Amino acid sequence: MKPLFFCLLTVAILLVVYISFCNQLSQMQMEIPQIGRVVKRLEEDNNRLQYEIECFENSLHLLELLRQPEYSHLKMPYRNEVIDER
Amino acid sequence: MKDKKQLMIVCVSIFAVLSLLLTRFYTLQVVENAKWNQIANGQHYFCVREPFLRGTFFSNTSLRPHHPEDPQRLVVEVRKVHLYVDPESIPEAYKKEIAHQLIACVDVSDDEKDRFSDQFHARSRSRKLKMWMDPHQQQDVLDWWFPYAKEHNIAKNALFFVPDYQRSYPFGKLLGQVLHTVQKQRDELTKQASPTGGLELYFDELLSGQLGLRRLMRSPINALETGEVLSEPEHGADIYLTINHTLQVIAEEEIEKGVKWSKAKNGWAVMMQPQTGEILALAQYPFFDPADYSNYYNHTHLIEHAAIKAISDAEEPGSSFKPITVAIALLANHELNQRGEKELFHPEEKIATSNGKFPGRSKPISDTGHHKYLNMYMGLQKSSNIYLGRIVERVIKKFGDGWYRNALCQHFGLGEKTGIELPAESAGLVPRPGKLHPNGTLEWSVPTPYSLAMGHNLQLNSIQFLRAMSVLANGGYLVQPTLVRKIVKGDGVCLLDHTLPSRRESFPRTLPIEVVQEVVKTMKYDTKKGGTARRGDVWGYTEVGKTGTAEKVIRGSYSKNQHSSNFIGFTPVIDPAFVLLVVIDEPEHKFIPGVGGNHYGGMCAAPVFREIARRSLEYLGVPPDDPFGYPIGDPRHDPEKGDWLVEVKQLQEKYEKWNK
Repeated sequence: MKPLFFCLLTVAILLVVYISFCNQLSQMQMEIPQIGRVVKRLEEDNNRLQYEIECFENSLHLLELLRQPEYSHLKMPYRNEVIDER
Repeated sequence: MKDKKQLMIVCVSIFAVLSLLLTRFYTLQVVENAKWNQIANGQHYFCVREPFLRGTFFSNTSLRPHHPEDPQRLVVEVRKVHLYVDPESIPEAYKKEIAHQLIACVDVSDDEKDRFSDQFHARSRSRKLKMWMDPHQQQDVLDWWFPYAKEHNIAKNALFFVPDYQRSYPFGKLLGQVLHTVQKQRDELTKQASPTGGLELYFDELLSGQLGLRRLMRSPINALETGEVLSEPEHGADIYLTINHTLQVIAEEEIEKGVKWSKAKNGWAVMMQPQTGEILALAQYPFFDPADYSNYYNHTHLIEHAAIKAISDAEEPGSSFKPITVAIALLANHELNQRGEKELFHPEEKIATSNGKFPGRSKPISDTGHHKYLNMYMGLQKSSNIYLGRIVERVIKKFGDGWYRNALCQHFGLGEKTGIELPAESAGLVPRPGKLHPNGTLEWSVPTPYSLAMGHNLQLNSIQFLRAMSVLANGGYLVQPTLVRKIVKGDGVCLLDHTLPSRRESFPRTLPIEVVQEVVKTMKYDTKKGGTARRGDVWGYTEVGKTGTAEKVIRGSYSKNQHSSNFIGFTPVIDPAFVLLVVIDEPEHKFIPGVGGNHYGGMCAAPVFREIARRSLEYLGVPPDDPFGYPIGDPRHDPEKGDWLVEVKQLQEKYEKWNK
């Protein structure tokens, strides 16, 4: 009787462990699409913010800034003034 | 016996029932297997379309050596949403309140409020309420809607959002006519956008993508996976342009100032790299705003600003064409030299220019000033129609009309489209000997060459003209103009690469270097004292240029009050950074006392050329190659050391000696 009892107990424990593992897998599987949606949303937000940065940093705006007195000291360097380290 | 019979009946009945079941089982599982599988799949799975991204345009950020820059997008696909309503899911009692709340939430204009409210009463399961909403606007609506729907027991999906991508322009109106845009309404099935013109239209097939397909399992509460991708979306190809965004801004700012100053109808400036044919800037004023395209197409007085006049308008260039005439005359000399024959003329030869009578002309040709004698350098500097006519007269006598026409077409690429990557390019017109106009008159008659010599009786679009001038700028090669550096598909495969050295090596030499050098030397006089293009002098740099003021042909005859004024040139003279053409269309016709005609190319177009050239050379980092070439009064001015000032003075002395 005792060996049979211990066998049944072992099987039961293994079964519980297996079911618990399957539950964890299912939990992760449920999270995957949610994470996928979050990632996609972040990518699109990034794209939209990048667009807004480009709107601000566009050449028209930068050339206007260049005309302001506080930036008048800035000059475009000539080609022969640029040190090429290559 | 009776028991046996009963037993038999029961057995047969059971057998019959079991047989029926088995048959039914076989019918369902084997015969109708496909049908029930399909129904089951339809109930368990659903398919969604995966959106694609339309290809985008990138600016040319490789112009400045040692200045690495990230690729700059000129067009961006920004994710937006459209708000829809399912009117049949909303009880009648709540429709007015929901409409009212949404009007406040999504900022509907007053004239759209009625149309907005009417959507709630349509007999439909899907009505579009508002397009192109930002994600934060979507969140505002949902933050209000979900609690409201729960409180009043309305289905949450009575209001739903459909994602979409809107073509957005970080640079606003920059390069509007060239890029153009796509219409806001897309095809419902394919989700493809319809282009309105420009590069969007020309490259529509490459820019368009294909929707993907993904299969998802239906799950009432939790989805277990992201689904099975049945087909990946195919994004459109990206196009890397030759246009540089900073040079474009410079050109647009200056052309706007120039058009407003001369009170012209419109104007444009085109900048091209003479060695490669790459178009660096193409600016046109009034501008075209791609984000507001419908406004242009709905108003007849605005629609013309949507066209690229540099491509579609072929006009007579006028006097700015004279360097080409000089080149052809020198080419004739070169051919005679090679044959061992005497030249038609010498550049220093003193030619009488008082008499403007030419064969076939009822009226003599005249110059703006009276000149008794001119040589080639003086002839171009003073923009003398008679001098150019005289040397062309010798060319025609020796070589004939056909040779002259061939020289224009084969050596300078005139009379045919350049193949620039834009729709609606005009081929222009070079008259053909023996061909008749629709009205029965000859295209090429006896006096035609003398008109051609001064830039009349032919039509060029701006790209053709730049291409012809580039032959003089790059040492004699006929380049292929282009707006595209590379085209790269969504998967990284390069479909087209114009940056390879083999492209540049394929350009044919069409003018001998000696001819080119002589023409460039002649043009240098024009932007200095005594020339018509003084206002095109780029201080600190060497440059060549020529002005043109052509009367426009209006209803079949030349107009005295409507002109197309232009300036074309390149700078620096040695290894030019660019060739630049500025066209001012119909400047105000008036005389400014002590200065001259406002409508002359030297007055309205030359200053625009100077400013675009100066600022562009600064941006490109080109060091000044004429450090003493500044106006009188500037401390840097030196009449002995300034480029070409000594030569100009010598020419002026000779001119005064010949014409006193």
